Amino acid sequence: MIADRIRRLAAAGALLAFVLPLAGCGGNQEPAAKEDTSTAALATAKKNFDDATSVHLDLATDSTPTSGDAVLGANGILTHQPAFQGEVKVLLSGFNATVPVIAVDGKVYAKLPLTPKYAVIDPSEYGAPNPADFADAGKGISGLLLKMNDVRKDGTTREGKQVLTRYAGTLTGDLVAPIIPSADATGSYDTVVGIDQDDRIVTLDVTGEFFSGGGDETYRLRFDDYDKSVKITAP
Amino acid sequence: MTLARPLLALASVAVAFAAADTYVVVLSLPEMMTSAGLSVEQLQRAAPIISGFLLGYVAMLPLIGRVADLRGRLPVLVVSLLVFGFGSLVTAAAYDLPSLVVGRFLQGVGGGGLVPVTLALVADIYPAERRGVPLGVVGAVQELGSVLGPLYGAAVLVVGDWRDIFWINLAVGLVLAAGVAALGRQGSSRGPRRLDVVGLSLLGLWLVSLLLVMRQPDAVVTSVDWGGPFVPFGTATSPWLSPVGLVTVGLGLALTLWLVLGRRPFFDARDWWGTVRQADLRGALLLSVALGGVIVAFATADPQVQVFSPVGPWALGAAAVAGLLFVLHQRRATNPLVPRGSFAQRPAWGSLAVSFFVGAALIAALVDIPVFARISIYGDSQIKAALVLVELLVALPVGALVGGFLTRVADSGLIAGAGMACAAAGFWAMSGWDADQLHHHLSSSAVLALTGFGFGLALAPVNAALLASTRPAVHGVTSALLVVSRMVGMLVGISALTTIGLRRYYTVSADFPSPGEVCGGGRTRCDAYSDLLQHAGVAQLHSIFAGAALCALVAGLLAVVLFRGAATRATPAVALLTAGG
Repeated sequence: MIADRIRRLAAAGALLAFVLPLAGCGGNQEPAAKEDTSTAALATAKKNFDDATSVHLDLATDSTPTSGDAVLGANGILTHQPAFQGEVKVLLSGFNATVPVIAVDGKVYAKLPLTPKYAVIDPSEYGAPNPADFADAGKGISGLLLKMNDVRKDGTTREGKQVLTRYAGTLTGDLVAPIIPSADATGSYDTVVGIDQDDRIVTLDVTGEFFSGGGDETYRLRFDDYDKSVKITAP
Repeated sequence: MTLARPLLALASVAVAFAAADTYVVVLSLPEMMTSAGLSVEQLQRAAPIISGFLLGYVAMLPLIGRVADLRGRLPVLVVSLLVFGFGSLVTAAAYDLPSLVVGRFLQGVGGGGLVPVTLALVADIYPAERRGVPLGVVGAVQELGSVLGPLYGAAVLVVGDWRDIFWINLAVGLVLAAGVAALGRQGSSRGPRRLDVVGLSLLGLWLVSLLLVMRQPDAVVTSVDWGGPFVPFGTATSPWLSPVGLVTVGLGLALTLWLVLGRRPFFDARDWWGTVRQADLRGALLLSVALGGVIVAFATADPQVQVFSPVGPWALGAAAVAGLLFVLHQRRATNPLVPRGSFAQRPAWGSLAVSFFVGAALIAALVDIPVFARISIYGDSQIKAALVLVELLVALPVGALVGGFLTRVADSGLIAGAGMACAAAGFWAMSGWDADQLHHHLSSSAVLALTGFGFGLALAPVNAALLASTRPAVHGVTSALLVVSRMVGMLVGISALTTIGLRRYYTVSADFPSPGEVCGGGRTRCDAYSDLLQHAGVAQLHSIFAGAALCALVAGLLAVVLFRGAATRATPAVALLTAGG
């Protein structure tokens, strides 16, 4: 019932927004302009991300599922080879493990928990993404910026030394899933991007239901150390 | 005197609670490791979360008994409970492994202070010839606490996360401290003391800023206006090297200065320091270094490479030197903790040796049986993994009862030997368990019950051998040392057995095929590969259980040889059953 009413309200709102300017009652063009500057800022940030040879990435969440498979974090260097080298925190059949991962040349090498050496794995079988894909300009992290719906500027926030401008919007689950595989493809995720004074993406928070029935959880991505000359090679 | 009994009851509850805290973390260890940034295979680095507590506990025991003699039982009880509460707070707010271990150590310091004071309370209340039962009750509640600990932890985990365990501990510590203090105020004729406004304000401010630094609350840290002071200076990453961190350190220093130099502070640090100096501070420090060295030696190892890290041998060497100095110090001190000659008879020092190995074996049961359950069949449920211990925990008091009565009619060494033989047989059987053994309820229950029964059976004869071969005047302190000896055994056992077990694991798994080879068909994850890893994990536990069987066997043999001739049959059964824990 309530969902239905909200949907109807939203439809009415959309109709009004569309009709009002046409009816000449416009004049208030600001929302559209705001969206434009927001989109422009995000586009610049995306370009800066894609142009950087490398970036240090930290993915984390406070959520603590205790069963099944899930990605709970990642920390490492992402390059546009594309490649990733670092650690991925996963839940494997209920056990937390920090897995050293090197993803390069289309292959993912992982030192699985309680194994002594790197082995080639298919991350999708472990409920994990291929972290090298994060660097992909289209389906990777930077691609998300231009696919957000209802983008609006959302004030400023502090991230360590930096003061960031926040841009909020929503992403559909199918776009989030390549980064966090437990995302529900049909769901909607509130997304907040934090961009610093140099127009670089510093934070990306995605909130929504990642574990069915588990309520809303937030995954936080942090980026720093842009543009270092790093070359990642297979182990 | 009328207040003495409620006080003793309260103190006993506190002792049970502190004992429970040793093992409360056993089942939340995987979650705590995640919070501290450790992966599942770094179990050896997580061992200090347990052994840090034991270290604090053991280090305090020799010190506090004397302090309580000099300062009175009540203030020492209150301070111990407050230190325990503060340790709980630090643990609950911990943000990495070192802060977690510091918190656990402080908890242990507070918890360890409770035991000698409570024993001293018994001595105050009861004449020497009637102390057996109350001493036994104290030992028994401690025993009860240590077996209920894992279950209590699991129960909290059902409704909350591991930090909640320590917030609850903080609350309980404060409530008990308030209770003890209230009883004390009733008993004393002094009016209420003047409120130390400066000291208490400093304390309040310090605690608030401490929590702010440790927890880094999101709402404050991300605020453009308020978050600045939380940012570390320059390239530093430690939260302490920030304006708020330095203010916290400054407040801590100011508080310390006030307590030392201020007029009538709420806690007279100068006076207490004097008392501690009179007590055996050097002995406590030497003992701490000796045991801390053992922890560091094993905790820093990388079992993938070898059992010791490069610092390992140095840490062990330092531990050996400190241990030697401690022994020398005990011999030379004008007023040693243990009156000279207390352990002159062979069964007396023999009981300490036996206790050490019993502790090493017991910790393997309390820690590694639930771990086995989690690896094998209850991967998703801590409570079920904890309940696996129930058979063992039920059989233990049954064995203790039987052992108590047998001690009257048979040689204590033989009974203790039989008990440890049962435990060794149980561990030996466990060292052959396969991954789905716990599904075969009957046989696994029988093995667990046999192990628990064996540990119980050995309890009374070890106590009896000690009591029969020491003078009544030193029964309190020698019983406490029996507990210390067992705890040291546990501390060494958990460190060494874990690391050796992991080392064995990596030796076994060194030539594992890759997941692609095992699974075939282009797949890299399959049951076959999981089984391979699971079996290797179980193999690691097998070697730990085998090590525990060996420890139990050594304990039994030592008991048979060293207790020979102890005049235990004359001692009344009730005292034997319970004394010393």
